[in-house]
Amino acid sequence: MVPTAHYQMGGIPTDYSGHVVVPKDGNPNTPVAGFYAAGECACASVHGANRLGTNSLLDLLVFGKAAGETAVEELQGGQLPLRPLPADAADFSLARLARLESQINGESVFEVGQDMRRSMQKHAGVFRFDALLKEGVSKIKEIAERAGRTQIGDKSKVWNTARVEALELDNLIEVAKATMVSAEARKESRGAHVRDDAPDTAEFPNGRNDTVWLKHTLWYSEGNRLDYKPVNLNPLNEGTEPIALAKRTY
Amino acid sequence: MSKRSVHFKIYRYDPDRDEKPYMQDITIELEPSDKKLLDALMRLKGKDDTMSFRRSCREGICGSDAMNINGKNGLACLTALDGLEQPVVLRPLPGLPVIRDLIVDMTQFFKQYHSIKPYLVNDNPPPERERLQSPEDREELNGLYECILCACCSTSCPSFWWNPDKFVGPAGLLAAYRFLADTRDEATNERLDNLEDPYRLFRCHSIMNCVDACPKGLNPTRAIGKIKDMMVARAV
Repeated sequence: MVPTAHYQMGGIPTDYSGHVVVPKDGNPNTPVAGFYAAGECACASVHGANRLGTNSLLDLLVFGKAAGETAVEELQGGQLPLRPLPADAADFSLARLARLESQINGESVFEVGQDMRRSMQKHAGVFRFDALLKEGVSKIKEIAERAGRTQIGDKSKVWNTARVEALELDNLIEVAKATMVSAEARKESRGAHVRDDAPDTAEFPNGRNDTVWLKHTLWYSEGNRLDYKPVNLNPLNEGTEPIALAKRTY
Repeated sequence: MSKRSVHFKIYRYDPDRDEKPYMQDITIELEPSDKKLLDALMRLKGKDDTMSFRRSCREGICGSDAMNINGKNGLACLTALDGLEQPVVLRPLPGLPVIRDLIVDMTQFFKQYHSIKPYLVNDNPPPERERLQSPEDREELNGLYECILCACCSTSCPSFWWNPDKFVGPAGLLAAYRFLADTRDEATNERLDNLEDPYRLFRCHSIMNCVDACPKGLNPTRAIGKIKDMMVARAV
């Protein structure tokens, strides 16, 4: 019996109506016009650092509905400041496909995938250790480089699962890097991020260090770098008091 | 200890490459952690990535890796390798068009499923909080809501093989009864009207292949019987 991942916490930052938000001009949550996310890939930031049972329905039903309605409303409103689609918009995707089609002496998707899964399990598992996380960061970087050289034998145009799995591996590697690099950098325990060197003490309940680490991690694929932004602890509806931070006791 | 291995005979067909389908003989060495048929198939795909099958959750929840295993429909991820008679003969689900290898076109299956309106219909204004059910009312849905739409049942049913365009099939009818049995649903009459013709419901002749095939241990035949009871009760 082994523990497995059944939910991905964090994701593409969104607001409550499904807009993807990025830091811009001093506002950490500036909507990107015409860009929406919902479901497990999104992070509307209602779960804190540990999504509790049945709460993923919020991502599906509440924010899924909201994102759909917002997208329709804004498209029909015609007010979106959208730029024309660049002529080379498809180049990035086509380059990924072309790379796969022409790769020779490459890596096996199955083996690189297995190594990625094993490394995530060993270095960023249920309980996390500083030395293992540090090692994990360089390991996942190596694996990401190998993933850039995957080769497929199946070149069929009909239901090609080998090609789909190779493309999925590229995506999984991005998430693996985000997870490993963010976890290594966060020197505390919080929610599902449980570090051996940040135990539960009177000063740091559940191993949490709110003075330093009460903030969202932002990971950028470009340069594999991190940034942070504040957590909004205030309910959006007026008159509702924020829930004070407390120790988790169950 | 010598390595375990599995001898497969697998239905292969890639319309892009093959003139016609053939059965491929192949033996694969297993690792000690390989427990289920899906583990062996993944290992096989690691060696030959042209081997095509659907799979996703690998724990019997998504319903993707349904296939015909030694003559019986089942999920590869829930089928133990130990005790499986060799050679393990794998074919796509019977009765649906093959797209490639073990992958079938599920369009007809989902068309039937959608035809029974698989959602609650209730035009009354929503109450301030939830539409509540008593524990006894909720109990009625057990054995109905757990269906994962893998199609093992419908593609084992001779009536569905014969009339996939007219007979709703066991999966669709199980779902139909799931909403007929729901105290929050108000479309009982419309739902029964929708099934009242010589084919949609009444092509079920209680062969019970569906019950035998269901990897979740559900009983579509019993649900179909209950719909027939409701039809009779409405008529008298």
